[in-house]
Amino acid sequence: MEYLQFVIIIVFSPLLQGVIKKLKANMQGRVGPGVFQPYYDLFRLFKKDMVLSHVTSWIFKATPYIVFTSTAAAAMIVPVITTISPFGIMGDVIALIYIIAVGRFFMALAGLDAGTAFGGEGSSREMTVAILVEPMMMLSIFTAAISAGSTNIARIASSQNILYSPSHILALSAFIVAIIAETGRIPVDNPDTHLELTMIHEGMLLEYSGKYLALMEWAHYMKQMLLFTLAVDIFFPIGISSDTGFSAIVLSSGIYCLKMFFMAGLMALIESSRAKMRFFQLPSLLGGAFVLALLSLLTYIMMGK
Amino acid sequence: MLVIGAVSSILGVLYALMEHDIKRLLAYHSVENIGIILLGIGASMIFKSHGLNSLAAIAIIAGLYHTINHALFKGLLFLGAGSVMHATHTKNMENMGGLIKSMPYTGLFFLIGSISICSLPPFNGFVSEWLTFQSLILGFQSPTITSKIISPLGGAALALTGALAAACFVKAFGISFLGMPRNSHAENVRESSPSMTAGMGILALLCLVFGVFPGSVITLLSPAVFNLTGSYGRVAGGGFIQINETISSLSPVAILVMMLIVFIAMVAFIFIIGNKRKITYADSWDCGMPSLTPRMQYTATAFTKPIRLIFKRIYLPKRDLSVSYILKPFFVKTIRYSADITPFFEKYLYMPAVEIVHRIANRVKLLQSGSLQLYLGYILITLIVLLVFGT
Repeated sequence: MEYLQFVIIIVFSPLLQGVIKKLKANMQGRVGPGVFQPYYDLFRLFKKDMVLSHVTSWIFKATPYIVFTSTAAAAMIVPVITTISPFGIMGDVIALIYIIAVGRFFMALAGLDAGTAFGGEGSSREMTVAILVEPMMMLSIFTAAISAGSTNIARIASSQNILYSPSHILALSAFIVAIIAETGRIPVDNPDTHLELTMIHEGMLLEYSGKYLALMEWAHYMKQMLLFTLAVDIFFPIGISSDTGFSAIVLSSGIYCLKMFFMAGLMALIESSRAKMRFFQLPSLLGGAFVLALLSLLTYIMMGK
Repeated sequence: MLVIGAVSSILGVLYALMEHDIKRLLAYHSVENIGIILLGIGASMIFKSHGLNSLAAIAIIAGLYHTINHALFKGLLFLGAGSVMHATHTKNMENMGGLIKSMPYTGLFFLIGSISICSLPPFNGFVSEWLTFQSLILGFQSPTITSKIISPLGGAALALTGALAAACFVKAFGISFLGMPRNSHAENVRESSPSMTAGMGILALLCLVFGVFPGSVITLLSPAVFNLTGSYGRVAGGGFIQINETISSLSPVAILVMMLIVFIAMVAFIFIIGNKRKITYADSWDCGMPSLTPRMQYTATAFTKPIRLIFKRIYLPKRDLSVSYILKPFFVKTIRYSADITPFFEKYLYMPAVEIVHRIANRVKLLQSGSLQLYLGYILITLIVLLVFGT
């Protein structure tokens, strides 16, 4: 069972996306598509023929596979329902973030490959956001890692040293901003737009169609679920099982579902209640989150909790 | 040392981002990478001064490993840049574009170099940067509060550097190798001779090997590490590094193998679900306005514009817009736009130094009048001085 944890992320990530969309629709007074809609969309895209730009090179064709592969490989590292995670041998939380970054690097290259202004714009903005997010995300993870005495995710999840202390709350708030930025949600990016001037993530995917688009979208859902899982592993590890017995797994799966539902609700709430920010206001949001992460670290050093 | 390393790595990569000359870009990245090496060495000095020898060993391994890696991928990238210059006769990447089609091998190897320098797995830069991160987090174990605060901040600086380097090489590779050729020179290029590409190929392969089997490299480093710190640091072998039982471990081999397994599963899945797809080739999306030209592509200047604006306190950008009108303000004849940045260390550090040297040189100029008699006089005076003081 513990070997198949990552399959949960691969299989259920479109469902999580569907749940977020449904909750968002309900909060905005709409009915919204069913929670299984992302599966139908992916299936339909896989069946479709493709139109490719003749400007593109092999980088464009290789990118969907690389993005999907690297995200799935990153998903193997994260303990989902039990802290016994055999693939933890691959690396720690730093390795996880760098494996995700491989996907982003290639996605940005693919954005430039078709030779259109939209793709370049998307790539440029994505890399700029990454520059602002990365230090803040690392710093908030450092606080958790230092207090747990390890950067191994399963070990951070099993140690509950700083739960609900001031430094923990500060680090968590910085990390949530990081998740919003990384998954391309309002107020950083609007996932539902195809308006040229505002899109970041969608801009890079504009030239994709059919099977490639399906892979890119699916990888994006996976990245979202992966980051949510990472957040609950690091900041709310309560309830994650530390053995692999049947009843323990069932209980821990139930708790995991609740946590994911809570994260989905949080994202839907933020998306429904905020407007998208102007791109050049982002440094103040993300810089503010960096200060939170820094304060969290200082608090931990000064207060020891 | 740690602070100098952090500052120089961030500044190096920031100026590299604004550089569109492919060789000067790589040169600025050397500043960045030496900053990263200094982070490792600085952390090692902190540990050593507190007598934490085994931690000092880990940090020095990070520094030395990055030194080796830097030699490998920077060599590879300079060879790639040389090959590109040989083919396109320009160093300015705004005049390149689409080179990956005409120069596939150079493109592939330059890509591998870029991935390595951005420290992405499974290539070599990742391993040494991971080790540097670990030694900076371990900085928390040092007893003084200053180093407890500074070393995680060094880690944040390293993360910022990593993200900036990734942006920079997306620019360097994307603008010069991808998209449409930006002028006719870039259109008619030929791949460099096999002797040039083979050299790059060897270095690219080494980048992969050093990234996948870090344990073996660290074993080779251990005599030097022991001499410097009096400790061997960690147990490592083949494709596996472990700081110690509890702290953390990394296995690039496992990462690579798992990626391959996932890849095979994914291809099999796609094969089962939908195999009867046609691929049609068409133009890129042009908003319904026909004929996209290469001039409409995103340029390197445009790509780095957001970063230029966000870090404008450091770059001190200058812009110059001059418009000439046929009939003001509706019919524009020409628009000229130029933008530049001021490297502040040039303005506040190098220029004053140059100024002082100039001033001294101006004073000294009086001595050098060009008159032969005066020079003979100098020799005479020197001779007398030597005779008086020499005896």
